[in-house]
Amino acid sequence: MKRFIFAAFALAGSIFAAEAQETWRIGALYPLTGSLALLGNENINGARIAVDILNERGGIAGRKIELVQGDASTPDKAQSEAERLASLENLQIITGTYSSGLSYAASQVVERRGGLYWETGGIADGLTKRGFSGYFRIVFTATSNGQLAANLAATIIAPRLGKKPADLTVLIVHEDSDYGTSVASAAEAKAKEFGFKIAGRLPYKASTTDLAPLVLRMRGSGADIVIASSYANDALLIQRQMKQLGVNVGSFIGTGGIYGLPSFAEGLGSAVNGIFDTEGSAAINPASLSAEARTLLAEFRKRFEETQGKPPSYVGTQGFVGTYILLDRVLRTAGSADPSKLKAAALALDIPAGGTPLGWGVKFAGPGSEMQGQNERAFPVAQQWQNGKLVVVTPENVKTADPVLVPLPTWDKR
Amino acid sequence: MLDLLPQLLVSGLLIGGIYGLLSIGLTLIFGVLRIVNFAQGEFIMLAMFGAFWLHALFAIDPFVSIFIVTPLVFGLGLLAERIVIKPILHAPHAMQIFATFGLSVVMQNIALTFWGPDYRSVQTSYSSQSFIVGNVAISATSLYGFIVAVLMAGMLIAFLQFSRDGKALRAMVQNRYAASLMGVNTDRLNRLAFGAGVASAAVAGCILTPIYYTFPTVGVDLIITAFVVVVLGGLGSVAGAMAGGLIIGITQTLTGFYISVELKDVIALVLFILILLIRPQGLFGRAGMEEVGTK
Repeated sequence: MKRFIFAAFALAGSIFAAEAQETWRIGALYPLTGSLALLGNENINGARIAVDILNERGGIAGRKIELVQGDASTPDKAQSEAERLASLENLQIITGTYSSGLSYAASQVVERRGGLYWETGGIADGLTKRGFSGYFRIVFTATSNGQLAANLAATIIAPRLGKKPADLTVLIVHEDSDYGTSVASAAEAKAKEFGFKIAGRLPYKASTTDLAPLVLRMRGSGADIVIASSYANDALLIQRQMKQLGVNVGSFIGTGGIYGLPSFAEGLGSAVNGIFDTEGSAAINPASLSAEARTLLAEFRKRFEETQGKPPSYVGTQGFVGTYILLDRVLRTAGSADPSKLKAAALALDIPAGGTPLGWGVKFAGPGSEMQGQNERAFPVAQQWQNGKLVVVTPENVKTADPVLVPLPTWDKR
Repeated sequence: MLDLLPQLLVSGLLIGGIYGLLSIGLTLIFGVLRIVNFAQGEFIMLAMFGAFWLHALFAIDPFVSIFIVTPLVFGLGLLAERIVIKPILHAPHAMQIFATFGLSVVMQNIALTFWGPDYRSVQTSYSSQSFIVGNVAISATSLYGFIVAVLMAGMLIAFLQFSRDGKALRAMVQNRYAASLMGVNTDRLNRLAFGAGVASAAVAGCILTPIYYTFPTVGVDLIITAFVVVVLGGLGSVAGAMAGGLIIGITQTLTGFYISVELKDVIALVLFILILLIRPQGLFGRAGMEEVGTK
């Protein structure tokens, strides 16, 4: 009997080992519960589709891919889940994390263990300023997003308001986490460069339950253009309280996050039209994409709608694109989960602009660069809500529509 | 800058009324059961989902939903009292905290499982409307919410003051042990107090639906202010909760405008600490309230 049990265990063990050898196991670390769950789930749903598509095509080097999920709902949990994936599950490749704060915590663990950390969503600049050799970020930075907001104000909004930047007042409001602060400081610096009058930079807590004081200061400052970095409830509160308190501005720019989500439009109804949003877009002009990227995007959209019952947002698409490049380009080239080969394959990547479904190319800043591991060919785009839909209005080569509703009509006409 | 003062006071008053409404259930539960209900925010969240779905599926206005959602949440409160609260009534504080906190985590994740993490909002014709009086804009949703809050507090105070059960509840607030010696059925009143406490959270949830997004963790953002308000007003005092709400609301609005939006919570908390230094029992509370009659 004893011998039989041993044999059974040995058999089970060998099956397990064989199976483990036959799949690529990739850690996927996203906030799946808690307050960041909405966009964390959106991200991982995109990542799963990348895995499905590649598995149906025969996997990588004949082996299927398996996502090993981790729930990083808070920085503490991100760290402990990264520990679990890296040590207990013994994974060399971890992708994630949507939020910068979570990425800081989780990537430290992976870097210490010498693995590869592949960031698809966190945009705080500092993430790629740590000189980590195994940290690669495919998405653009907070600074480039903030600069785009100021750029949009100077090149598109100012001419349509019929004034020079020097005659226009810009007010910057932002939630006070790393994300909001870094986008806002970049927007402020760039707006100053353009010669705008800056009425101030007003930070607030995203969890706040009332933003009447902020909105009243907006009125007091006489701002023509407002640039806002918000999380969720705060964005809705700003708009609703602006309307209630009768605060009109020439133009309003949100910098990503909730400003680009359908729930923002649902919460505002027709009043959403005319509001700008700077971040990536899953719907840039298809003519700017390579044929391969176009087909891939169409395939992704189809599958996302089938499984989720709604079209993918930018965030879902970024999870998909990031994971797809990681598997199809980095892992395939490396042909093994050996971190040094993976890192070399990542650094060797050279995809021209338009080569991914988001329009980005991929070329990582190498060791010695101040932004080591940053994808230098990722860029945000400026979008605008028109007739309840987001359209891309700049840069010129990827836009799908011309900007309208500048200046914004007063609230009684929206 | 001073010409906006009337506007700031009105905005502060309105949001303060809502803070008060968020807090009266919490203070009632604490006063009677001597339990800090960390799941109070989640009852608000459930009510918000209730109002959201009634609006989405049957186009019922959130203010009408109050009459449907509140009894349901009251029933749920009775159930929660039976399963979670009753067994820990005489347990050490740490255990009580874990139990109600655990209840909140369970409720959040039930909501997450059933309805997903999406941000949902109810768009009503009056969602962003306001009435203009002179140069003061009064937000319709906040005004209606304020009126409901005052009515609710008034009704609750009248109930506690004049009804037989209300008097018994007050006796329990004063000294639970003595009340039970005087023939008060403390088991039944515990249930009633917990049910009524979470039911007033449900009222708050309904009126918040047209103002905020509804999502599984919305209660966490809302309840922190409520805790401060309850302690400021005096544990167990409904009138204190309303007064505390108004003080915090006005302080936050004024400091948010004149000093810093980011620091408005901090300054309100500093004021809170200062008041507690002078009156440790809170504005309307009695000294030693948290210990009296629990042994």
